[in-house]
Amino acid sequence: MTATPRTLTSRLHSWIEELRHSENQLTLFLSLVVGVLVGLVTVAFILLTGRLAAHMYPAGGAGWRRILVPTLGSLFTGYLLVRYFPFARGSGIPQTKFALVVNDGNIKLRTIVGKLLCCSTSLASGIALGREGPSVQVGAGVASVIGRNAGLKVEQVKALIPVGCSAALAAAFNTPIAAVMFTLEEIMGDLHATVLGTAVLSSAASWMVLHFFLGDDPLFHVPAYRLVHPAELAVYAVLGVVGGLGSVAFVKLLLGMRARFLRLPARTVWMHPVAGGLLVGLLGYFFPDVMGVGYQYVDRVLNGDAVLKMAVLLGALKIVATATCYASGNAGGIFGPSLFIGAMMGAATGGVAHKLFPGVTADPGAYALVGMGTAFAGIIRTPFTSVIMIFELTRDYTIIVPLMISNAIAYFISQKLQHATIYQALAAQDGLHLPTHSHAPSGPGNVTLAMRTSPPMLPAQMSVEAAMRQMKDSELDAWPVATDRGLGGMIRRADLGKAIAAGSDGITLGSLLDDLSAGNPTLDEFPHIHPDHSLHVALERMGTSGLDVLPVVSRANVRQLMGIVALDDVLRVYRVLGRPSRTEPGEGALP
Amino acid sequence: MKDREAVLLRPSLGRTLFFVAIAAMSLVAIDSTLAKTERLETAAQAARFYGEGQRLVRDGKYAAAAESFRSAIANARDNTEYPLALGRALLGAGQLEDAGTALAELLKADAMAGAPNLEMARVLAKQGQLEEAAFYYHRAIYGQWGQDANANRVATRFELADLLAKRNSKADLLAELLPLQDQASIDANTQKKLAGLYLTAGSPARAATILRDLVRAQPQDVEAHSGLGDAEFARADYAAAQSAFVAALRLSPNDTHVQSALELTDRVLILDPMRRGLSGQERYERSVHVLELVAAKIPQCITAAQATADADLINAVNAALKQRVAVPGQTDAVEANVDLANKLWQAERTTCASAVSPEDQPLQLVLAKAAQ
Repeated sequence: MTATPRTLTSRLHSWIEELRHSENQLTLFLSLVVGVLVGLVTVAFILLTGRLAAHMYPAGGAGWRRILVPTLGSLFTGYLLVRYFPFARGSGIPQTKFALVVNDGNIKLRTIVGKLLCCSTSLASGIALGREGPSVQVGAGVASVIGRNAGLKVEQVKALIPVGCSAALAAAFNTPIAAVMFTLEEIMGDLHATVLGTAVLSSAASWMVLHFFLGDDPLFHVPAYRLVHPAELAVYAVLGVVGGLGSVAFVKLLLGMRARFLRLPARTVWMHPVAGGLLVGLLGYFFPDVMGVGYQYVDRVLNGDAVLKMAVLLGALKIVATATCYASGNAGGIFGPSLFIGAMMGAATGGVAHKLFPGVTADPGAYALVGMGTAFAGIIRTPFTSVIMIFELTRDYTIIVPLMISNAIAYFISQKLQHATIYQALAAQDGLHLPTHSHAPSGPGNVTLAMRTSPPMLPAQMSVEAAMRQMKDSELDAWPVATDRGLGGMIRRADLGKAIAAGSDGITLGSLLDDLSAGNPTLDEFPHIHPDHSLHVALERMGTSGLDVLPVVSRANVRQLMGIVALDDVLRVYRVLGRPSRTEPGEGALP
Repeated sequence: MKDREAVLLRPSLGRTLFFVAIAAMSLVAIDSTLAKTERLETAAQAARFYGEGQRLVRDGKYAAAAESFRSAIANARDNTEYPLALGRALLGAGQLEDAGTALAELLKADAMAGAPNLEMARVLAKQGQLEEAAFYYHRAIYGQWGQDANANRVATRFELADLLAKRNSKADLLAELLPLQDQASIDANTQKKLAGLYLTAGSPARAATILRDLVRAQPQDVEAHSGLGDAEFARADYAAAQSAFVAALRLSPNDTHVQSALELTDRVLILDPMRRGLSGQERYERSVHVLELVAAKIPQCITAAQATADADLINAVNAALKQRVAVPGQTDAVEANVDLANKLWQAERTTCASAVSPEDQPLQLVLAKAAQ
């Protein structure tokens, strides 16, 4: 009678032992586990948000609720975010990239719980943000927690992060292919990343969980649109221009407002989200469709139920509402709002085109559909993902070519007018320097190969003469300067010489650095390099800055000096100056 | 050695998997509960919208009803009744394109669903796309119906038959009526409707057969007698038509349709030289009378249409009158006179091309019968 349970237990034990010994099996198994678990968590997140919203806004509820609920909701979540869950603020994508690139794949369970709780509350209360970005952080967090608790190595935990991301996005957006694409394109920054297989596995598992609980229903129900006339492609190109400019306007407004909020006193941070909540409430009192993510209204617009003036108005109001909600520190993402904004821009462009050229243009709904992808490509800047995502959201292939044209134009305009992507810029505002795809390691290797220990930092209060005396015998052309916040920049021997020649009485290194960086908007812009940058990037930055020595700084904190890289050291690695010295460069690679 | 390192690296794998399993089971329970609650609430919400829409339809507010049905659909996309109601409401509101779109979505899911096909047929019929409408009517007839499948199929075929009758597509109409005769119920109203459609389809014999049976079964049915009179009249059995009309008038003396039909029938019978039971002399006199009546119309016609009058027609009249005198025997003479009258009538119709006046209707009917 007892033989069977014993057999099962022993089988389970031997299977776990087997897993312990096989890297590949363990990776695949954990990817599946992460996919299922993240799917379950995301479904809970979606349903919880829906249930909360149903209670906050009962059918036939009074209009004043639309002002009071988001205001109180943002106040509540603002307090929670400051007091208990400081890492659960915002979208979650930059935080995920930070964890992956800088923090050894470490996302705490507390952050996951905080993200779920705060996002559910704020999204249900009508805050004009989306659930997709937060889901990505939650998914990555689940993967991180499982990986770390299972005793995986740091690299294995990091490899599990994109697995969690793709699972989360697959369930949150009901787009399993786009989830994998986004993970590779945005999170990993590499479409050929080795995690492709495991990301696909987790995405599929998560998507199946979603379907098990919520059924097979696309996010949007779209009639079969088609290209009415080849000349219509010109209108889609115009939509690309409109989408590109609109995306840049949104991103710049959001970043600008966020910069202003970040400058406010730290003690007021807990009440910042109320600004977003109150604004959304006031706008929502008159235009309820501005509230929340607005997918229901998008669905109506996609089905041709759009009035031109309303589309323009709601598009503009959504830009303001989402930018304010995000900038003020509410918990939520910008995926969903991007789609709303894009749909309105598309409907407006299509509405005008259809009025002017009714014979050769489709219904505005078709333009709203393309507009969604266009705004996504312009704001998030993942053009491949946006094409696949629209296809998956609508399950309509016929509009893909116009979508590609429009996306490409919007992406190009956005890239020209806003150099950094929104997630890079947001991370930079928080003092995090996330890697970009263009800075992926290439050539002989990364900066750590040529990195050496930094000489002692010169205090900012030191006079230029004293600094010159200290640098006189050094082989280095530039030295780091320490301010009260950490590294303040690099000072060149030539700059010191010029200052002394010009009469340097009372001039300190700090004031000299201020004078030298007068053209830059912030001191964060001083030339630097990160350890994972390629040596190509180091040479490029040396060329543009005119410095022979660059500080190597942490991605988590640009003022944390990790070492320096000198031109000669780089050239040695390139074998231009003979073999690299094994005693100097590389010695201080890891502090 | 390598195995030992791996074990040391992952001492807590089993424990982690255990906690993951616990977490997964908890989440399954939470998700199931939340999903069930959501399904129930959204279904209830959808039902509320649907009820509201039905009420608005009853009040004739189709556009507002369509909005309610849309909301119901948004809450319960699996329910096929809601899009059907939306299609009907949009049809009622005259938003034919939107109705077509809504129904097309429904048909995409189930192309052979009876009710959506019927509604789509109605939309297309209203848009004047009769060929396409007939296609959807047929899909509805041969499609799937939940309850009362046979009754729905018969009603749909009747609707299609009505449409074909309006278009005067007699062959198509007859093709629909033949299966209907087998499927339709035997109640009096259905049989009378079927007989009426047979008349429209140019098959009065079938109509007469149905109505004769009906009259036998329900001798007090005025409509049946009247319909039988019409059917017999259409198949040129004026004596039978007279009997039926007399019977109908006996039951309903004030029925103006029957009165006028009987009057016309009487006039035809008075004029008809081929009527059974007439003596040879009487038959001949009637044939002469018919010829005279037709001949009398020729000058009128010429006068009325001087511009088109020509010498050939005048010559034909004179020749005909001469032939009348030259008839060798009485039986042949009757046929010859009627035949001549027919020729003259045809010539008169060709030349004058005017509508037949009510006074000339009996003459026309007699000549038509003689020509058969």
